Amino acid sequence: MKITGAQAIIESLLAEGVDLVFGYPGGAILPTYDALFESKERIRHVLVRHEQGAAIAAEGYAKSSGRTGVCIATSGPGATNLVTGIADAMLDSVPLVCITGQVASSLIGTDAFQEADIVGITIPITKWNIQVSRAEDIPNAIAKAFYYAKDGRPGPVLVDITKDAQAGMMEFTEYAKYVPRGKKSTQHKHSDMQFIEIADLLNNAKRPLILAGNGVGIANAEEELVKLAEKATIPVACTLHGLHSFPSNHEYFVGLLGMHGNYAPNILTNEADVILAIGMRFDDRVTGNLARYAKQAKIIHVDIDFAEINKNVRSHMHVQADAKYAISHILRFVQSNNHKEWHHRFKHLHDQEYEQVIKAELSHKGDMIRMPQAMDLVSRKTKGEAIVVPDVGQNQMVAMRYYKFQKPKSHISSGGLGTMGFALPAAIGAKMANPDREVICVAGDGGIQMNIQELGVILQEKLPVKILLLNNNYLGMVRQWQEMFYEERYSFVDLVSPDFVALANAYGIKARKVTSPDELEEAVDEMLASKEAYFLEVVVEKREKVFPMIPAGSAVDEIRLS
Amino acid sequence: MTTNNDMHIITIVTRNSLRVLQRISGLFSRYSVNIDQMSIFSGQDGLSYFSVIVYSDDHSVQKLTNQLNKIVEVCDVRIVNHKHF
Ligand SMILES: Cc1ncc(C[n+]2csc(CCOP(=O)(O)OP(=O)(O)O)c2C)c(N)n1
Repeated sequence: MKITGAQAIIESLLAEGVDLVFGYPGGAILPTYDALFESKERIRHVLVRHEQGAAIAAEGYAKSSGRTGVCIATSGPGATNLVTGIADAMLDSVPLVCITGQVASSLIGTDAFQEADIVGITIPITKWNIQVSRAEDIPNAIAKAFYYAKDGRPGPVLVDITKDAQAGMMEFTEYAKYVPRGKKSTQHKHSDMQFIEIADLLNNAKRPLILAGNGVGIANAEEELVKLAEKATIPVACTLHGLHSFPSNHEYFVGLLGMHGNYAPNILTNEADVILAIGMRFDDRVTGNLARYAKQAKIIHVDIDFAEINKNVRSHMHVQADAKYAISHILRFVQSNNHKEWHHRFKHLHDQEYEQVIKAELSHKGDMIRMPQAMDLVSRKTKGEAIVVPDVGQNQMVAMRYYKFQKPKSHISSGGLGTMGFALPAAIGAKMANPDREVICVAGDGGIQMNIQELGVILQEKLPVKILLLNNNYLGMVRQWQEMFYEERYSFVDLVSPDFVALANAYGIKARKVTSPDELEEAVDEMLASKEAYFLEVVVEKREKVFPMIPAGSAVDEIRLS
Repeated sequence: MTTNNDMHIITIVTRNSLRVLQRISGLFSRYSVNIDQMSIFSGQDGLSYFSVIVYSDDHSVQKLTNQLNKIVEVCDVRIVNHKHF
């Protein structure tokens, strides 16, 4: 059957099981939009308001569903607007297929209108990318793209397709999914011996600790992780992206690692004798000063990406494998154990944090609301079962510290790149993937304005996304650093914002602003009860700081409670 | 940082593709491993053979090759340290 290259793009997407794409049209992608028009019934296209929103919405979709997200943009500015989202997906291992239009092949290299070398630009922030200039090469390029987005450690890929390739005719037979020949294996063969040795270390440990990262959720290894922790009575601490992979009400959950994580797991990282790190990459926000990180511990590192092994932290043993595979094999050989005293250490330190920070925040009585009070309410009212999509900054740290996640694929956050503006488009993507779950975007007054235009998508698609704006009238996290480390020289962190309620209303979204602690509960109830989108602005204490904190350059056990 | 800057020869075999040189050289600059000499030979077999001489410490070279190995088109990467001659 003869079809156009553009139709081949659609057929290829359909063959990969895609039913939803986020995009924005323009000159060089017009043939593909024409084909999308024809296929409206088969592929839903969501028109974002800025291409960054398309890339990030596709990430929100991917992170909350485990499927590959797809976004489409035109050449030049359309393509360069995707860049932040692509870089975000690269650092957080999100499977993303980006399709960009390109000027006609005869014009490439002529500085043609809207020509940008997007393949060159995205080389360092994609796992793989390609330019296609012949219609007949399109299906194979898309097949490879979907394969590499998910192969091993997931990540973004980009297929740049010239306008003439989209318009050209080709013979389309059957779509063939990509199967690599002579594939480099991302998963090595492992012998039982290796897992027996690892289990031996764990069985003989006096103070073992599991660090669970993004890889646990990506491999859907949540149940295995619970089994392992329970069988060997090992406490589990999570990274930002590991947080939703272990129930936070589990007795062995000891909290969040890193800069604004919990007191106990940070301090006790430097007392553990054996650390089993699963699907995490010892990011600097987790380790603090590397020279004083877990030096006393024997470290077992499980990661599917071999380049992560010994990259930041030297491991005594490693397994290059996905988390599910590795945990199930370790599980075969671990013995039940009793680490009562060790668990008690966590409890003791947690109580200290609870008294000095958590309880102090939650029970504080003043005329201003505090961020933790709002998050704690939302957490209790949704029983920890919502999808929470924080932005970046204090609101993000508070959201993950106070929301008690009970379900996998529920904490959708920009960890690696720390992209302000992430929350709103990512929440849109998450809601599209999970229409039956409550999806709550949490943002600061700075970050919400970085992609505020995406309210237009909520309006147009009638998406019942809930937006919780924690408005401290500051770029709060930066202000906190200036207060603590720059002698209170508040350089350009004070922002004058619009009337958010009127703004949300202008987009047809119900909105409410609360300033007094007495109104908070009722307003949160109203937001959660709403069947449609709802924008709740909570005016919070202006000068709060997030604690605990490991100051940059300090060791994990130097974490401060105030 | 780069205390013992030994000579290393890194050999890379890739499937021939337009952008692979850019991807490879980008990693060298990102990991601050300066290329002293590089030669590329395109075989009849659709493969390209790179031989790159660098002066750098073992750890940086190891980290770099781990990343090189992740390039989809790369089939093989080897490090030959001058000590082995
Ligand atoms: C795109 C982008 N620009 C700048 C930063 C640096 N940054 C990190 S947190 C922050 C302040 C965020 O302020 P706001 O959104 O109001 O949230 P708050 O910290 O007050 O909760 C800034 C500017 C960033 N992470 N991302």
